[in-house]
Amino acid sequence: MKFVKKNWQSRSAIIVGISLVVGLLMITLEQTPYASDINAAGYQHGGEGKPDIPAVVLFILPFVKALVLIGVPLLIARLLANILRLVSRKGSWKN
Amino acid sequence: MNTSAPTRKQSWKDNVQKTRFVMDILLLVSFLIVLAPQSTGIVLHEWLSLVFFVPFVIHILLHWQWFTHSFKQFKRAKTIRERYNFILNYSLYLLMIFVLVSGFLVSVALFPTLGIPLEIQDFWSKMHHDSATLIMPILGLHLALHFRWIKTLIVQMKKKAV
Repeated sequence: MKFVKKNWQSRSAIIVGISLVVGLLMITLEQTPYASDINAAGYQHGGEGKPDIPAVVLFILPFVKALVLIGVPLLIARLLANILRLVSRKGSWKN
Repeated sequence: MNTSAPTRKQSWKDNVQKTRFVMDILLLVSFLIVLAPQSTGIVLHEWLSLVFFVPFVIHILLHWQWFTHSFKQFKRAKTIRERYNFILNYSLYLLMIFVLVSGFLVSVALFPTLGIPLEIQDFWSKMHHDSATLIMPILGLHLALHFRWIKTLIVQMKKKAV
């Protein structure tokens, strides 16, 4: 891990320091009117109690959700990039 | 008699590209585990999120060169890809911090175990849920942008060219 170990303490301190400052600034968002509105209205996600589906499915579903939410934009972006590359190539052939 | 020095087999740790690849896989797998609190349970989810910060910092350390030159490169950027990469990487970093911070602020296991009293606000519950959902497609776009690097490295590793 020589690529990580090189000056890792000072570099990590910079990353943690910047992240802490950014994180503390983010906490100030709770002072905004938007935060007050949400706190006043209340928030709840997910239904009450356990749904009537097998435990294995319940265990796998969150991973499937994550893979779909990551995978679909990935595939769409790749498809768009390929189309754009093809279009630009065709354009350069015409010129 | 063979006098040549024995050649040491190269490990993935000796190659920066392979090190990045291995650590990126570790980061992705740990991220997927952290993203599924319904599967792991809330307590494990919160402790793993704390541990997750380690591969996250390692990822930044391995791309330190990019970070230190990113603002200069953005100013000089000639292609849309370079600008898009800059915006996407920093958005992902900020969103990651936001998910972690909002997650700590709605902690039901981590902070109470550490003896830190916490009054959970609905605002942070919503922010944590929404930002954790938003970070997934952003990560998908990040992976799409570096897809060619991933593909090339896998092909080269299969051929043992790296």
